[in-house]
Amino acid sequence: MRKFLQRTVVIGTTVAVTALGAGAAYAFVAASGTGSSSQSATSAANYRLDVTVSQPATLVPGTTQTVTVTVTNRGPAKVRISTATLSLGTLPSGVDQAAYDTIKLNQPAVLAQVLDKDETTTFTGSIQIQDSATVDQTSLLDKTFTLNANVS
Amino acid sequence: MRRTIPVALAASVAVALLSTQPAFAYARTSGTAAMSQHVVAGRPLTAPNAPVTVGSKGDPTGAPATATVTNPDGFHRWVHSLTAAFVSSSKSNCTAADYQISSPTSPLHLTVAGNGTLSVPGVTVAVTSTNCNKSTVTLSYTVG
Repeated sequence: MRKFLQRTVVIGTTVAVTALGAGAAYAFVAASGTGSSSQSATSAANYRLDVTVSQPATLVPGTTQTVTVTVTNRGPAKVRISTATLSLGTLPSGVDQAAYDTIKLNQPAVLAQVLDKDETTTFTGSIQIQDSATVDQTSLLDKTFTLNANVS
Repeated sequence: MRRTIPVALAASVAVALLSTQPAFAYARTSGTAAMSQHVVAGRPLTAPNAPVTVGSKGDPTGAPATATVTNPDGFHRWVHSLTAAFVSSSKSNCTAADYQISSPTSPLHLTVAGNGTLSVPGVTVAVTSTNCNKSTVTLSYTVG
């Protein structure tokens, strides 16, 4: 029985080491630094996503415009992304809050995916200023505001 | 039996370890971007000149007039003020000084549908000189 247990442990350990070795072959360990002793963790600071958000048209109430979010993995290894969120900046000077609230964002539909090093992907959402018959949007006309995109 | 148990155990360990591999197969990080968005300015609301025939000096109420405001944009716009002004009179010797023109009290809160028109009442014209009685005055409108 003792010999039997020893063999079991040996086999199990061998499998475990093999599996861990396969993990090391990926070498894109989480930025927290978890990994086997044979590899060094890459600093989280080295992982970087280049993100751009684009919507070239002037906004007109009642018209929906497509917003494109482009993401490029500039880090040293694969990165997983699962969310891309659009948001508005702070209320511009001279704009009524009620008018600003008529700006509606349609968030990009993002399926979790892994980007290789230097790989680029795009997501599309949309933005619309509602054509309101009840909210005075005069203060919003000819104004500029900020549209943000956050990808993680 | 002696060989079956260790193989099963080893396989379980392997499966357990392999199933954890995806969690280590990538890093997680984030990125942000911002851009400026500009909103169309909108074109001026307009109301064409329009005639109004006045009564006689001393009438308790002036002659009412209605402005027709046009929205050239394809979305709702708001009228905040309307100001009427004298342009001309059907009687050549009558001037702006011979009439008292009243405009609606500001601020107004009136909406005009996209590419639509809106009648704005509240303008009155009274004559202050008897020689201008029953004349027709042409008014211009400024829409704010």
